[in-house]
Parts: sequence; structure tokens; C-alpha cells
Amino acid sequence: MDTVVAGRTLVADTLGLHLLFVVFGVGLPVLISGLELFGIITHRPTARAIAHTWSRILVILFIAGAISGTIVSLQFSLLWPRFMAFAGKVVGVSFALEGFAFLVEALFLSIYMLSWKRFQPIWHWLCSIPVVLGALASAFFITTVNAFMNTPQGFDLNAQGQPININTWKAVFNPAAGTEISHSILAYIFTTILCMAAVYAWLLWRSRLSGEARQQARQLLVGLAGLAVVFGLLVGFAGDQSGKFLARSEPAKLAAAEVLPTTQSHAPLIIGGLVSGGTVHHGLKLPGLLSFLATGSTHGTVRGLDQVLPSDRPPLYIHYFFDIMVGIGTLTTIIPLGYLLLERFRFRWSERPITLLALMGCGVLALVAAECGWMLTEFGRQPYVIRGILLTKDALTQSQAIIHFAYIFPTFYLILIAATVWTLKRAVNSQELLP
Amino acid sequence: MNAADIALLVVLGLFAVYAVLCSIEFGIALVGLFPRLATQPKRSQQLFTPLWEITNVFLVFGFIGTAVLFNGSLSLFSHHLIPELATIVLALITRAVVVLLLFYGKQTRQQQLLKWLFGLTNLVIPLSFAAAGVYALTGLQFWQTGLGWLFMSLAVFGLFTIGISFLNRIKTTVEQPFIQWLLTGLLGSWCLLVGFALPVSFAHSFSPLSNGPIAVLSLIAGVVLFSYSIVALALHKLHLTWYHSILLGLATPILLAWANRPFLISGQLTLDDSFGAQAYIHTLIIGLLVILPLLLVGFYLFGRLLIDSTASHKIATPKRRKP
Repeated sequence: MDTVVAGRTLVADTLGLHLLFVVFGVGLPVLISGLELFGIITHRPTARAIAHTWSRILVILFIAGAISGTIVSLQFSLLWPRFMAFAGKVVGVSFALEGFAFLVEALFLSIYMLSWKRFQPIWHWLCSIPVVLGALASAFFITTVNAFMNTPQGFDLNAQGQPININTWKAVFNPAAGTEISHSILAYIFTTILCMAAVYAWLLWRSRLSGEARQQARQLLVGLAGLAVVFGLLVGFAGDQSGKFLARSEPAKLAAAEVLPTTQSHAPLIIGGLVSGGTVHHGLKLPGLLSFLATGSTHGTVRGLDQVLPSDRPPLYIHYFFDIMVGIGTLTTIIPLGYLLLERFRFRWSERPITLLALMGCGVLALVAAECGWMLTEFGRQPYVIRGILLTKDALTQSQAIIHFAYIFPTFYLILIAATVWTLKRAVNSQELLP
Repeated sequence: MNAADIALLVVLGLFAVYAVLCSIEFGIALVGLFPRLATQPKRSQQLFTPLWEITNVFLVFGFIGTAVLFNGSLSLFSHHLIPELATIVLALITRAVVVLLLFYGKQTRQQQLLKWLFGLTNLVIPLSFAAAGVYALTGLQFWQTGLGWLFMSLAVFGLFTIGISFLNRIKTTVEQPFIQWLLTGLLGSWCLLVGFALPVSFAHSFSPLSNGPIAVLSLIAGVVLFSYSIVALALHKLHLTWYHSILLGLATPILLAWANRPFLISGQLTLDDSFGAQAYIHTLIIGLLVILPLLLVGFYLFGRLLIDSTASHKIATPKRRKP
């Protein structure tokens, strides 16, 4: 293993782990706050009790997420000094604001948890607002950095390749920021909804619930499935906008994701297949659909890999990440919709093991999709860490020691995941999820 | 004072707050292992909850602040400090796992092992940062010079003194002679280091610290405060000890790095050469001005909630159901 591979492996492991906690760190506060408000408005103490249980889950995930987030910041600074030096000069503001948002979230989450039984319900709910805003703002600002890496702007380069004439806010609110932020934050909330639905589907599947609890679980599942359909459509819309943006501003990424060797009109969308020798074998080809999705017309021109120097082309295996992400996104919107229809018209079918298993699967698959989405963004930008400006291999530290750590760290991350899952299992029992 | 100096103060302030919070956490870990170290060990344990993760926010702030504001230093730091970084990261992961198991696990024999691990990680993390600080102050790893070893000893004594004295802050008088002797010994050792060993070591080194009037002033202030604390302890008074040790814990890293000016890394890199991203410092200052009131209200509420344990509003509690 050379240092570049070791450095990339370390960051990939850390971000891959951190993303799992980010998903819940953004999604759960929004849903918990909404559930608590619903309980207050409709005078349903059980809704508040469920929100309380989920807030305890949030705390456990927050502990692990805070650590993985801290590690991310440490690794970025010391493993990728040239990247941090460059990005820091131009979009350092985003890092600072992300830190503030995290501080507000951490502090008010503590207050929120300690005041469940001590504040009036409405005052307690108000404490959740800074938590929600902190979580959203944190995700917002750190995603602006990622967007900047994809579409850098707001500076000029001097002869030494250093940024000058910096316009910070132009760099922060770069062209990719809007689509990336909306797509990712909506996807985090969507994934959290599906994971919560998976938990209640699992409770129903175990069939150990009394009639009242079963009814409550079903109500929650219907509510969550409804939310999943709404957010699934929103994520799909945001994803469509992202795809159109890629066609305009990051054509190499889209061309690699769709394995489009040449610029063409009436470009086909290829679903599935095996990538080999610069082309896709055994994939399902839908003529003109890529042109339609990218430009709004089946005759629109989509730029291919021939527009990019061979040395600047992203790896073609991102086609798999793209297909998995889109495929799961579609499936996890259809399954909750199907559940709602079954619940409406064929009540008995809605509680059959196959239906509940499908809902449980949605939770796991949604996490896989979130990881694939992130990998598509990161691998799709290669060989650059800041597109067109800084090569990944040039951004890395000179220290050879990182090679050893690339082997050690994943073991520790697995221990952290195991401890988190074990703690969740111990700290929350199924009865508390259905009080 | 230019923008680089302000940036240095901001970053140092964040690290200093982290150092103090970390020391208190270490004290809590020590009391978990040795309850005799606190007059009210149970109350000390209650101070620490899994929500204590606010500590790490200061670490992230400080680290990102260094990386962004002094981005010219990153290549040097990353080349020389990878072992320290890796140690910190591994200790952070271990600490997170231990915290989860300690707070949510059963009271078993393994709890004692977990407490030891918790204490160890809380020792390793700040000491690794101290080692990074020594590199900035001397331009060498701590094990390469006598001065480096002295700084590390200073950090160790600081950790113990702040941790133990803070957990005994509730009492104004010393009730246990053991604690009195321990704190006197720690403060005395720290006093000797600050008042004698460090000035001698400075005199024989080429560090800019040896000529810095602020370094000399801080050494004198440190000796005076600690001597005062020792006198207070001799009179069986505790109330000023924790206050003094925290004050020194906050001031020491700030004053040492300030005395190291114009260098960020002694003899290798100046503050001005490594400074960049002025927009960040503006944001940091504006952010602190805007967000500070919110944070103060938040910390006040947090503190009150920790102290006040009365519950007045009920939440529907789960009922046992049979299948």
C-alpha cells in the first residue's frame, strides 16, 4: 500500500463511518422535534413519550458521531495539509460556521435531554429548535465545502498556484452548493424516516405486541410510510436537479457514472450491467433517456468522456454507485407507497411478514444508498480533490507513517460501531418505543 | 498586534478551555477509580454525563482553527506529528466506546477495567496535545530535549492538580488529610517546575522563550499563585486551590505560545509566514459576538439543570404488556 492509497483509505473509512451518524444526526432531531410538537398540539402524551425515547437514541448516536466528526477534522488537517491550506484560505468560513452550529447543537441537546421532566412541554419543545437548526446548519456548511471541492470559484490563482483575490462568500455559495445541500439533507431525513419505519416494522414482525400496542405501531408505521413517500419524491426531485447540474457543470462525473465514451445527442441511460474495457456489458439500455434526464429533451446533447483528458477521467466503477443509489431511492419510495395502498385497501396483507420484511429492508438499503451517494461524489471527482485545481496525490502529507495506521483504524471503527449497536440495544427496549 | 496575533489568541483560548475541561474529565475518571480523592465522590461522578461531549467541540474548534488560520504550518505539523495525531484519534475512539459501555452497561467486574481505560484515554489525549505543543515551542519532539520532558511533566502535574482540586471545589475546608497532602505535593511539584527547573532549562536553550518577558512574568505569577495555594492548603482551606489551578491551566498554554512569538514553530516557522484566511478570524470573532449570548444562556441552563434534580413534568412511562 502506498501513501496515497493509505491516505485515501483512512479518510474513506472515517467518512464512511461518520456518514452513518450524520444521517441520524440530521434526520432524528427534525423528526423528534416534529413528533413532540405533534404531541403537544394534539394533546397526546404518548407522542411525547415516543419522542423522548428516540431522543435517547439520538444521544447515543450523537456520542459516537461527535467522535467520528472530531476524527474527520483531525484527519483532514494533518493527512491532507495542502488541501486544508487551500480550502482553509478560501472557504475556511464554512469550517468555522460548522463548528458554531455543532457547538449550539451539542449544548442544546444536553439541555433538551436534561429538561424533559423539568420544563413545561412547550418550553421544552422550544429547546429542540436550536438542536434542529444546529444540525441542519452543520450539515449545510460542511456540504458547502464539498460543493466547493466540486465547483471551486471565488478566487484567482497566482503563479505558485495559490489562491488570491479571494471572495469567500462567492466560494461558499458556489454553483454546486444548492443542489448538493438540498439533495443530501433531504436524503438524510428520508433515510432516517425509513430506518424508524424499519424499527416499527420489526416490532410488528416479532408479533409480541398486545392489541393496543399493535394498533399504535401500525399508526406510526402508516405515518412514517406517508412521510417516506413525500420525502422520497422530494429526494428524487432534488436528485433530478443534481443530475441536470452535473450535465452542465461536472460533465466528466456524469459521463463516468453513465459510461458515456463520446459526446452525443439521444444519449441512452444504461441501467445495471458490468463495467469492463471502458464500456458496460449486459446493461439495460434505454435510448434517449439520459439526454432527457440531463437536458429535458431526448435529442439533447450530453458531453462524454472524450471531452476530458484521459488523465483527468474519474474511474468508471462509479456507474455501480450511481445505479445502486438511484435504484434504492426508487425502490424505497415505492415500497412505503405500496404499504400505504395495502393498508388502505388490503389490510391483512399489510401485516404479512413479506411486507414487513420489505419495510425493514428499506431502512438498511437507505443507508447503503446514502453511502453510495457520497462515494459517487468523491470518486467521481478523482483524480482531483479540488476539481481542476489540486490533485489528490499532491494534497497528501509526506509522512510515511500513515500506511501503518490505514490498517489499524478500521479495526477501531468496527469496535465503535459494535459498541454503539450494543448500547442502543441495552439502553432502549421495545416497550419504550410504543409506550 | 496584527491579525495573526489575534488568531493565535483565539486558537490558544480554545485549546486552553479544552485543556481545562479535559483535566476535569480526567479528575472524574480518577475519582471513579479512587473515591478517596474527592470529598463527595458520588457528586463528582454525577458531573460527567454522556452529554459532556461539549468538550470535544473546543477540540474541533481549536484544531480546525489552527489548520485554517495557520495553514502554512500544516505541512510541518503533519510531517512531524502523525504519531501524536494517531494516538489522539485511537484514544478518542477508545474513550467513546468506554463511555458508551460505562454509562449503559451493567455493573460488572469489567466496569473497573473500563474505568481504568477511561482514565487512561483521558490522560493520553491531553498529553498527546501537550506533546504537539512542545514541538511548537521547541521545534523538536518532547523526548529529544530536557526542556520537552519538563513541559510534559508540567502537563501531567497540571492534569492531576486541576482534576482533583476542581472535584473538591464544593468544600471550603480540607476534611481529609490525604487530599490535603496530595494537593500540596502536586502544587509544590508544579511550583518547583515552574519556578526553578523551567527557568534553568530556558537559560541553557536557544528557545525564544528564554528571552520573552511574558514567559518570565508568567513564571513569576505561577509561582506566586501556587505558593498562595499551598499556604491556603496548609491552613486547611480549599476554596482557592481549584480556582488558581484552573486559572493557571487556562493561562499557561496561552502565555507560553505568546512568549514563543514571532514563531509558531520555534526556530522554523513564524506566525506571519504561516497565517492565512483572515476571513475565518473575522467570522470567528463575529460568530462569538453573535452566538456568545446564546451560548451563555445555554451554559447557564445546562449548569442549573445539572445542579437542580427536581422533576416536575411527567412523561408517559412505558407499561409492561403481555403478548
